[in-house]
Amino acid sequence: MGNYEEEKVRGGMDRRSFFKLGGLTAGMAAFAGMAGCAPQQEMADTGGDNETVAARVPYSVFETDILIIGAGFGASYAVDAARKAGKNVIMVDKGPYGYSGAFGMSFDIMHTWDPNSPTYKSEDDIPNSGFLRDESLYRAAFMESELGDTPDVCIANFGEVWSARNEDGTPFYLYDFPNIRGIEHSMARQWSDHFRALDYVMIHDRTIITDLIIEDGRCLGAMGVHVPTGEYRVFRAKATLAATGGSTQFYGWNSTSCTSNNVCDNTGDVEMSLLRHGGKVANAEFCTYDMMGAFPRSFVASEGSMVGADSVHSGDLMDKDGNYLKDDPELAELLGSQEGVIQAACIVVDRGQGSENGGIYLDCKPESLSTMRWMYQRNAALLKEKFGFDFTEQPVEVVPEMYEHSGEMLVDENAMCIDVEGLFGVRSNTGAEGGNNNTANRRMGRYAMKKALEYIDSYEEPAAVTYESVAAEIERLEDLRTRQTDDPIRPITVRRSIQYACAQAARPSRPTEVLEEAKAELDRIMTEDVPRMACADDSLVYNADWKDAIETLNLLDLARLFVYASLERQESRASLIRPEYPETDDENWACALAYTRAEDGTLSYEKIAY
Amino acid sequence: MKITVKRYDPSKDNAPYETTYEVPHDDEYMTLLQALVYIHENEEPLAFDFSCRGRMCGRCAMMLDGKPVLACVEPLSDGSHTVEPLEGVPVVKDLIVDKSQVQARIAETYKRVRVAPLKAEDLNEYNMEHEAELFGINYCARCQVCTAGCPARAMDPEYIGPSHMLAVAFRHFDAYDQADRIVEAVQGGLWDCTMCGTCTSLCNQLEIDHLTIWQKLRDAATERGLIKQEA
Repeated sequence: MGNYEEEKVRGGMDRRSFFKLGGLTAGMAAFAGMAGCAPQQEMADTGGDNETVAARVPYSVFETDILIIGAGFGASYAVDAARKAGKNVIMVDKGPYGYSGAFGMSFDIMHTWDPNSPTYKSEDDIPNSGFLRDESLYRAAFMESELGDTPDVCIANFGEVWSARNEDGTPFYLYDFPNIRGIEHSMARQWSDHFRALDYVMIHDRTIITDLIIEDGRCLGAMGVHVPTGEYRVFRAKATLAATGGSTQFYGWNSTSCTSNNVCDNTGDVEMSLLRHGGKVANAEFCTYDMMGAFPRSFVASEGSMVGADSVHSGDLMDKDGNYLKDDPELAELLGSQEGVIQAACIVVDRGQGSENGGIYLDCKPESLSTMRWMYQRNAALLKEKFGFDFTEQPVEVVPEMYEHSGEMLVDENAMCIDVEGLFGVRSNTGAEGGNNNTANRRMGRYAMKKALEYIDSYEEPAAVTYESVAAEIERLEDLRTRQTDDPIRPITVRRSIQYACAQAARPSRPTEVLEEAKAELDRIMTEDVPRMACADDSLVYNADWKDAIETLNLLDLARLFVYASLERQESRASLIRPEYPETDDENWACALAYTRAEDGTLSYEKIAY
Repeated sequence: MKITVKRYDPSKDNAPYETTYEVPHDDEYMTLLQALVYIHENEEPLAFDFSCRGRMCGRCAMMLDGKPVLACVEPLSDGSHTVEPLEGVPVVKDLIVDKSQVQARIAETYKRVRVAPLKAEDLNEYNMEHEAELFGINYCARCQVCTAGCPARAMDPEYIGPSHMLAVAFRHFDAYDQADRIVEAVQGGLWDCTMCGTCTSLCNQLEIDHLTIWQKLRDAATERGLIKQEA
């Protein structure tokens, strides 16, 4: 972690001084300049000395020890780590709790873990992650998380039955190798039954977090909108954990979804709030792909209705002439890892042996289908029964779908954001792996919570709380909901423009020319379309346009980070392939690209060495 | 094709009303979800919820031509259709319903009851007699499509309905659960179910064999003498 410290010294800023200069003042200036802002009423004396800036729109305030933004895999392990601390926890979930994200699906997740972990005595025993990331934090999180109960026991106590069994009733491990063991049919929704029943956990669901509350370099919580009622909610906390999912929602559009099995609720809301406050967002160029079916259109890339292949099932991948990738020596050696499968698929496409949509093919004949993960078999059965569509009749075109994305805050050795005190990153340090899988989630969830608990042990209340940023954020959101513009464009239209702009640029192979084109279009959307954006509904009740507007601004920032950072990184690494720079270049690029955003949208970055 | 949607913003409208939209039927494998996305994108803002696009999250449950469905996996033929919010739960706006109370109650049932936490060695034991039922119910999306369409529930709203009854059954079959789930099943209305099979015909999780599950619960209740007395 020495690198972060070094950078801070070099930059000459700590968290506090940074934010005196940061984005918050910009928001305040906008607020102060609003016409019709009523003079401040004299407030009743409540015994406090704080200057209170009352917003003209009422909002609710909820107080807790620990705020967790997100309510999925990482958040669950975080809550589990808090269970004996006697602290109150609020979890804010964007969708209905237990029904949002990959966590909120009857989704057949495969859980993997290192069966040797209980024998590890020190961080030196832990194998390298193999990805460009902060290895010392990775090891620290591993040590903290998995030396006690292994995940199978842990998750069974969250309510799972482990329905993959041998005939004698013992667990059936789909993976059972010396260094990795994995079990299928994990249904994380049962964890939500367990955690929602805990007395010290209060859940606010169907609530979008729109802004972190940052005063004097400290995170005092977050605020957002309860979507069904339009009520503004402020969550005041001693420590805030950001555990939301990575967002892939800028990658194309195919009638019901982008080319992703990730969910539309994930729009990078927390990280983009940090960016607006002047904080850094890193690794936005890294993401993770699977090869997933491209047809029928309504199901593109959906893990719940499509067939697909990754490193678990790469043996049936073919080129357009029916040659198996596994039979080509150059390709075969790549097929053992997730990113290797993507690299191999890109080579096939480059050879002109790919599919019409820039993908390849999956042999899905009955004897192949019957050896795939059950989640694919059940999808094929459903589509055959309900739609008469038979995956086994022809090779299936598969395209790279982006299932995870980094775009994360940078944290120190205590999982605390390097820019903001009291803000902890559960979704952090995924680095070039390109997003949190459930393994990284559970480790970082537990680790971040343990560090947050240590932090609040010596917590001192702030000298003053102004809530100025709350008032400014309400102004911003009210403006998004009610503004009228000349020649208006609805938020959904702007969102689609962003997605179409990235349809090619967000693929694994990203030629400079394609990225430059996307960059120009995204910048045009920022300067031309966003000022025209206006909702066609001003209701407070479940306003779909308002939700789109809030999310679209986040997606635009995120898409720009993705494209800018991809252009900047002049090498190929993991699932990021730059045809002009095919080699991995550790000498120049073994670092995170940490971006900040100026008020006018200008992006700049610094290299933070790993 | 013509899609008539029942719309309602309780903060603005006197009453629910219907709007008909012309939607191109431009996909051989068109789904209801595709049509709703089209309306929101091209006509006017429409409130509806979805997430996974593959019958796993259960968030897009609604009524199509009077039948409860999941929009994401419901084929839509060319012609005229009506779309309404899911029956039996409060409407928030347009096609958004509030399932939070019923899902919280179901979650309470799903929460496993045990005296002490499971240990590694406990995982080697499993209720293989009910393996198929456990495997199937594990895939339940808790979407409430079955409950919205259940004739027994319509006759007697006190009956917890098939979606909630699956939770009772799951923990009854789960060898690690130590509560008396048969009493819970009978109390929840096990004998109100008429074994008509509507739940199984509406369900998109092909793994779940509802009628076998209900019969197994009935057999266990009968063995315990928890039989409904005929008047």
